[in-house]
Parts: sequence; structure tokens; C-alpha cells
Amino acid sequence: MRIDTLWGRRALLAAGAIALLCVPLLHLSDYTMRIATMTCVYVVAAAGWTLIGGYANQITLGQATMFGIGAYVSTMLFVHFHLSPWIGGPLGAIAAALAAAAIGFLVFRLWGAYFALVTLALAEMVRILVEYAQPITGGPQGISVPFVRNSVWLLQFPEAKDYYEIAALLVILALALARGVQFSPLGYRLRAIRDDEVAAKLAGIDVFRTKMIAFMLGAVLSALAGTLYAQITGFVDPDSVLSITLSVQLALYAIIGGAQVWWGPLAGAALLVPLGQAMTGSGSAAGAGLAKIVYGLLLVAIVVIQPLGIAGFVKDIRFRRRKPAAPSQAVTP
Amino acid sequence: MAVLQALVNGTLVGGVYALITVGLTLIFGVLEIVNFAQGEFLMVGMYVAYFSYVALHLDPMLSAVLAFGVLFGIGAVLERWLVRRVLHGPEISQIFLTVGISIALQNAALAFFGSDFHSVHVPYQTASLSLGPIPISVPYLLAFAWGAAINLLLYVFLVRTDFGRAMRAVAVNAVAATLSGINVSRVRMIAFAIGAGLAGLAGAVILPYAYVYPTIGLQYVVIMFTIAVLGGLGNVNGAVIGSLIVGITQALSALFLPSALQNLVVFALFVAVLMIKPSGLLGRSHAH
Amino acid sequence: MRHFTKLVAGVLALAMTFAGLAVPLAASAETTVTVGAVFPLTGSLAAFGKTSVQGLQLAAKEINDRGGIAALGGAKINLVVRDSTSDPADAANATARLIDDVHPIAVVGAYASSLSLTSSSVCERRGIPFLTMSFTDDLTNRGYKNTFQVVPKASVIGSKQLNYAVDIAKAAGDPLKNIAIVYENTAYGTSQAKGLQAEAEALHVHVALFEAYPHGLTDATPLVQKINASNAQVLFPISYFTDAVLMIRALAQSHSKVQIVGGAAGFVIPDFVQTLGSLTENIMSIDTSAYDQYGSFEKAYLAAYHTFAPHEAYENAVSLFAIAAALQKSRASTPAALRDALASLDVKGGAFSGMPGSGVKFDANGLNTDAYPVMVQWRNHNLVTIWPASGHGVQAAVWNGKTVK
Repeated sequence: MRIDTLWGRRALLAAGAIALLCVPLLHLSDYTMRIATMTCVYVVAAAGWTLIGGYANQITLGQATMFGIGAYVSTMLFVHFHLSPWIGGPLGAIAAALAAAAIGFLVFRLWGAYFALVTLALAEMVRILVEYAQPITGGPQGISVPFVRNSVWLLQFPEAKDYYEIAALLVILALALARGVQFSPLGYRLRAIRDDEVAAKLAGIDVFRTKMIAFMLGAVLSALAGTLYAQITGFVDPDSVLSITLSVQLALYAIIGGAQVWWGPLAGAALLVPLGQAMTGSGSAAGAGLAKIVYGLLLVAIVVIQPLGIAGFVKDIRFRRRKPAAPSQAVTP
Repeated sequence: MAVLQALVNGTLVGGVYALITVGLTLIFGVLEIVNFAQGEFLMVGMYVAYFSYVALHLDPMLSAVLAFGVLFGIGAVLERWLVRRVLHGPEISQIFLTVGISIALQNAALAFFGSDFHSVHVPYQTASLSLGPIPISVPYLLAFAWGAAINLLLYVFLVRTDFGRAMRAVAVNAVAATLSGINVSRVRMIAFAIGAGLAGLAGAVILPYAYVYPTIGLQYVVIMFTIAVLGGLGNVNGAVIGSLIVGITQALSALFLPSALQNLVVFALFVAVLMIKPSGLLGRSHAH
Repeated sequence: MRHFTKLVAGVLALAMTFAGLAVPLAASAETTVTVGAVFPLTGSLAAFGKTSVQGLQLAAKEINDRGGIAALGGAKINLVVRDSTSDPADAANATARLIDDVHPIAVVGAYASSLSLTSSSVCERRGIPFLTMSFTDDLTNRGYKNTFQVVPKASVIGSKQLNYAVDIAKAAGDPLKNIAIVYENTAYGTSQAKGLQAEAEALHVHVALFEAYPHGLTDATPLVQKINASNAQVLFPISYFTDAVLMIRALAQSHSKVQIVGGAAGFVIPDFVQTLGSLTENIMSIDTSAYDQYGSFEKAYLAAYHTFAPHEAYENAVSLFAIAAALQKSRASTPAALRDALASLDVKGGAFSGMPGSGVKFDANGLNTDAYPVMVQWRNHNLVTIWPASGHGVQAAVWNGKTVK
């Protein structure tokens, strides 16, 4: 069967989704399943970044805010009101979408580097406020999520690996949404904005509204990932869920995978999360430092050689295969 | 009285911030990239000053020149081999190239210099002059003096020398600069190298009142960005004004607000300024 | 082609270097007991992870040199160290991986409270004893069965920081009336500051300034201006090294003579005196162990690493000594059996002499009930223990330049 046909593609995607759900059948070690689960969480969070940062080239460095709101809202509701994360999570997603609306209102007028840096500053403001609002948020000490009991309703399981199926389902939903957007009229409008914002405006696209929809949808995805993260680690604090480091990390996953395609976050996180873990394996500071130099250099290499990430490499290969006679062409726009 | 003291302190700190930020601004002005590794350049400069102190007993105020040289070299190499390749690439590559460089530099420092904290011992470290009842910190004053000197030198360089004029020409319009016979690649390389060198110099100059360890750059980088954007990215005079505003705002807000919210005020100011004038206080408006 | 071969050879060499670093030294034929250690070796907390691991390695060497665990046929301690990084989620991942890879009988970690919280959760769920010298109260108030905190908790450290200062001031004939508390806006800073504040209220000491500041200051002058404006007799800074350095230098520049009583962490590490030199003279700090009582551990540490042993090095070593003592007592061969042995452990003296109370005995929550904080003071570039006055080997305190009898 040719995979280029519509049905071929659909079958392939369905097979991929089923394969993702069937990973536990491989009986991998607890640790491996833990990393697989965390990878899923980051795929969803990075997919949130892709919708705005990748599709529309609005490079936000504040996606951790959305992740953090998801983590904090569901955790606070759980700890203070014993509300299940199944309800707290969606409420957190709504809160994140509202925050996105407020932030978007402020920043969408800015372009390029200014946009990136202002989103970074706003994210820092959110972190400072959360640290300051100690009575509600636990302040810098964060909140430990008490382990009540093994329960699907409370989204509490003894091991990270027990969250895998839920995380994998969320990945499938998030990527389905990202793919849906990519090939929808919204996706075309976003691409038009990415290529040339002024031209898009002249062509009659409501630029502000289009960006806003993508930003809010992305916020929802990242927030849901945040809720899941909080339940798995059992602990949230500003440093881990609202940091610049996390914002940069989420963007990196999407970019290394390929920021302009729906499966970029999957490819990027599936490569970088396990790689990052492997790098921390050594037991000495010098060793750990050396390993992370390699990590940094790898990022440099990919960004310089292929700005479209893994997706760019794939595109190159397919391009060559179809037209073996044609000279290969740089993908750099 | 307290307000006056805060104003003096804020001005001194602002001068130091100007020194730290001017390199970032120069790089953005000429190459139009935001250098996320600037904090790490500062860190490397601090290590240069620290090791010069340990090995040669060189005062950081003097080894600052050495730090400038080392970082100038590093900057030139990075520009020649990496930055140049993404200048015409997508914005994403431009931002994340320097993020990758910063990760590599941080961990190189960790692997080769270790995780310990280091500082220097110089006689003026805790000295202060008295201006009436107001004490003025000597290490800050020296750093301030370096900041003023560097900004003045840079101004003269950009306005009076041919190379400086070429640099400004590239900043305004690279295509036109090429057409008028300017070697744009070379200008960009030198600009990046000077920008990196200035961060290294700043690192050395602040070492007497600060300390160095591999991730120190992260502590400075957010404030650097804030100032650079506030003043208008790419505008050297703007960076000076932005620095003074941030330094004084921090000092004054500490009188009325909890210290924990000190940076909140700075960021709020920063966002507010950009809402009113999106290209920063002295930024040129781009036809975008 | 030749280039390609070279490249491959280079990559292989690099990979082998890392593999070599990652694999612990292979154990010899004799029996070993594997203990895991999860500490921040990278990121902003790396300096403290390093010293913690050095302490543990020294303790393991000491135990092994003495013939290992006699009750287990001279089994040697095999310490496997992993990088928690400075991120809580990664600390949990590293712990899970460590447990999967080497099946340790116990885990020691992770210096910072936030890292220990997530790392201990993983251990609790796997039923592996987790020993720590992190301060936060949360560690031992979650009802965990496998978490053991060898040091006093943060709220107690905070309250004693004030309590002892009040006593010393009274003994010096300079009763404490007006104080300033500044603390970094982190888990460590806030929890300890709360304990301090509560104690001040109970003892009717006026707190003229109670101020949180963002960790990682680039400039301490606004903070110091507030401290000076408060006219406090004593300053209680709860800070890591970095902010403490900026603050103390800025205080010196403003000609401040305020007596400083630090909150452990940054105030009691070798870098502190190396960086600040004679400015440290007579600065006090609360602490969780008594440097002048470390005994042979202190000498071994000095010989190996050329600085005095900071408290985290010693206290993590104490965790390992406690594991060894529990193994010796119970001949435990499983984590569960070791847990029970630790829960009923009661050891005193010897290697534990550096702990105030010189012993380890855990309550039902896993908190070491024998431990209490001490006050230490910098004298001539060394730390001496000055309070409580009844402890053994305690030297006279110097309060505002006056020796307290």
C-alpha cells in the first residue's frame, strides 16, 4: 500500500497511535517507562508551543507560564478543595487560556525579538507573583501533592509508569489537534502570518484574532500537560514549572523536531528527553558537565545545519527520493 | 535622605548595568540577533579575571583588558563559524543558536573550572567614600567609571572612526552598506567580537564586589535583556538610559515595596514602555 | 573516507569516555552493599552536590577501610552516585533510574529540599530508605515510612537561630530588643524565616524588618539600605553563599557594625571564608552540626580536598554511617529490613560525635530526635561552636566585640 494516498496516511497514523498506546506491552523497565511517560508530557506541552511559535512564528519564551498555570490550578484545587484533577485540569486549561488572552492582548503588536523578550519578562512576572502569593500558592516552597490513594478518579498512581496510558492518550489528542490545525483554514492563515505578516493582513486575514486563537489553543495543551506533570512528580514549585529554563526547553523540543509540522514536538521530545536523561547518568560533575557540553553543541549543530529540525531532514530525504536527478536544495528560506 | 542615598546607589548600579548591557545592544544593532549567550560571555570574563588574579595577582580592573581580548577572540570565532550561518536563516535559528552556545559554555565552565564559587581579594573591595552623610561604594564607583569610559569610547568609535561609521551603516541598512563598498561580513564579525569582549570586560570589572561560578550568567541575563529592550535594542545611547532607569527604579522601589517584588516593578515598567513605544525608548522604528 | 573513519573513531572514543564515567567502578569478588547517592552535580546547586558527594565518598572509604560491615561478612559499601541536576523532576527521574539500575539498599540525597522532596517520593513508592540532610519540614510531615532526616528541620533551626541569639545577648548584658530578618525567597529561606519570626513573637522581640528578597541578587545595596534604616541590633540573614557575599560586602561599605547571625547554608562553607576573608570575623551562624567535633572525618577531608569539611559533607557522611550501623545491627539484606533497622536505630558517639546530641535516633516520622541546632562563630578563618553553652567542646561567644563568659 502506498502511504501517499489519503487512506494510506490515515492507516499509518492510526497504526502509530495504537503503537504508542501499546508501548507498555514491551515490558520495559520502570525507569524507561517513567521517561516514556515524561516524554509524553513534554510532547503535549511542546505541541502547545508549536501552535503559536512554530505555525505562526510568534516565538514565545513564556510557554512555561501556561504549563505552570495548569500544574498550579489543578494542584491547588486538589490540595485545598479535594477536587479531582479530572476537573481541576480542564479548569487549569481554561485559566491558562484566559492568561494567554491577556498576554496576547499585550504582546501581539510586537515583532521578532521584542515579542520573544516581552513574553519572557511576563513569564518572570508571573513567577514572581506566584512566589509572593505564599498563602495561596505555597510560595517558593511549592506544594507537595499528598498521595491519597491509588485511584483513577484522583489521577493518583504509585509509579510514574502507571500514568503512561493517560499521557499517551493526551499525546494522541494533542497531535490530532495540532495536525487538524495545520491543515485547516486556521493553519493556512497562521502560515500566511509566518511567511509575511503584512501581506497576510493585506490579504484580509484578521492577524490578531488568528494569533489569539492559536495562542489560546496552545495554552490549553501546555496547561493540561502541566496538570499531568504535577500529578506524576507529586510536587510543584515555581522553579520547576514556571522557569525560563522550562520555557526554553519546550521551545527547543518543538524546534529540534521541526517547528512547522504537527509531529515536530513528538520527534523533538522523543529525541531530547531521553538524551538529556542519558547525559545525567554519570556520577561526577566533570562528567556531567562534559556530557551537557555535547548536548549544547548538538543543539548548535542542528540549528545551524537544519533550522527546520528533524522534519527538515526528512523533507530533504523525501525530496531527493522523488526527484533523484534534481540537485538537492537548501531548505533555508 | 533615604531617597537621596537610593538615587546615588541606583545611579552607580545603573552605570554598571550600562557596562554589562552595551555589548548586547551593539550585537543586536549590527547583526540583529539577540545573544542569549551574553550572560555566559560575562561569566567567562569573570573567570579570566579570577584566574589572572590567582596566577598573576592582577587586579580585575586591569585584567578587564585581558578579559576583553579573550572574549573578543571567542566572539570572533563564534561569529565566523556559527553566527554567520544563521544570519539569513529563520528567527528561530538565530535565537536558539545562542541558547545552545550558552548551554555549552555553562557546562564547559563546570567541567573545566568546577562548581565552586570564586572571588578575588582587593584592598578597595569594601571601601567607601563619603559624600556628606552618603557612603559611596568604591568597587561600584570603579565599575561605574569603567562603564562611563567604555560608553564614551564606543560613542567616539562609532561616530568618529571610519570603521565605526561602517558599523553604523551596516546597522541601518546592510544592503546599502554592501553597495557602497563596505565589507559587511567583516564589520559584523568585529561588532560581534566587540560585543562579546565588552561582556567579558564587564565581568572582570564587577568581580571585586561579586563572585563567579558556572551559572552566574543566568543571574544577569534577564536584567540585561530588560535594559536592552527598554532602551531600544540596538541603540547604544538607549542602553545607557535604560540602565540608569532600571538601576534607579530598583533602588527607589526598594524603599516602598518588598524586595521580593523589586524585579516585578522593573518588568512592569518594561512592558508598559513597550506598550506605548514598541521599539523601546530610543529605538528606531522599523519598517516591518 | 579517511576523514569519516577519523570522525567515527572520535565519536567512539567520546562515547567510551562517557560510558566509562557512567559505570561505577566494578565491584570486586567480595560481597558489597550498594548505596545510591543522588545529588545536584550540574546546575546552580552543583557546588553543594559536589561537597555532599565528597563527604559520602570519604565515609564509604572509612567504612570499607575498617573492614566493611562485619556482620555481613565484611561486605564493602559500594556507593553509586547520580546527578539529580538542579531540577526536582530530574531528581525523581535520576532516583528511579538509580533504583532500576543498581537496586540500592538505601539512597542518600539530595541536598536541596525541593530535590529531596521528589527523590524521597520515588523511594517511598519503591520502599527504599531515603536518608537526607535537607532541612524542610515537609520531608518528615508527609507520613512517609522510608524518609529519614538526620538533621533538625527548618522551623526548629529558625526558632533556635533566634533563641540562641537571645540567650547569648542576655549573657553579654546586651538584651535583644530590635532585630532584622532578611531571607531569600526560596523553600529554605521562607520555611526557616517563619520559624524565626514565630520565635521572635513568642519571646517579644521586635522585628523591625522582615524582608524576603529574590534569590540570586545582582546588587544588594537596596536591601542593605533597608537593613541600615531598621536600626536593628542584630541581622538574621537566611541566604545562600551568593547573596550572603553581596550583602556582607555592601554592609561593610555602608560602615554597618550590625552583629550578623546567619542561617547556615551560605554562612558555613569554605567558600564563604575564602571569599570574604577577615570580614567573616565574629559572624555567627546557626548550624546543624559542630565542625570542631568532626574528629577523624575532618582530618581526612582536609587531607583529601584541602578545605575544611562543610556541614553537608559531614551530615551526608552521617547518613551513610547510620546505614552502616543499622546494617551491622540487623544484618539486613533488603531495603525493607534496613528500613526497620533504621527506624529502631539508636547510636551515639564515635563517627556521630559531630552531630549535636552526638547520636542518631529516628522518631515515627523519620526525624532524628537526637539532633538539635548549634550556634557557630567565625574566628580567625575557622568555625567554632559557641552555643548551647552546656555542650562539650564549646568555646566562649563573642558578641559585638565582647567575649561572653
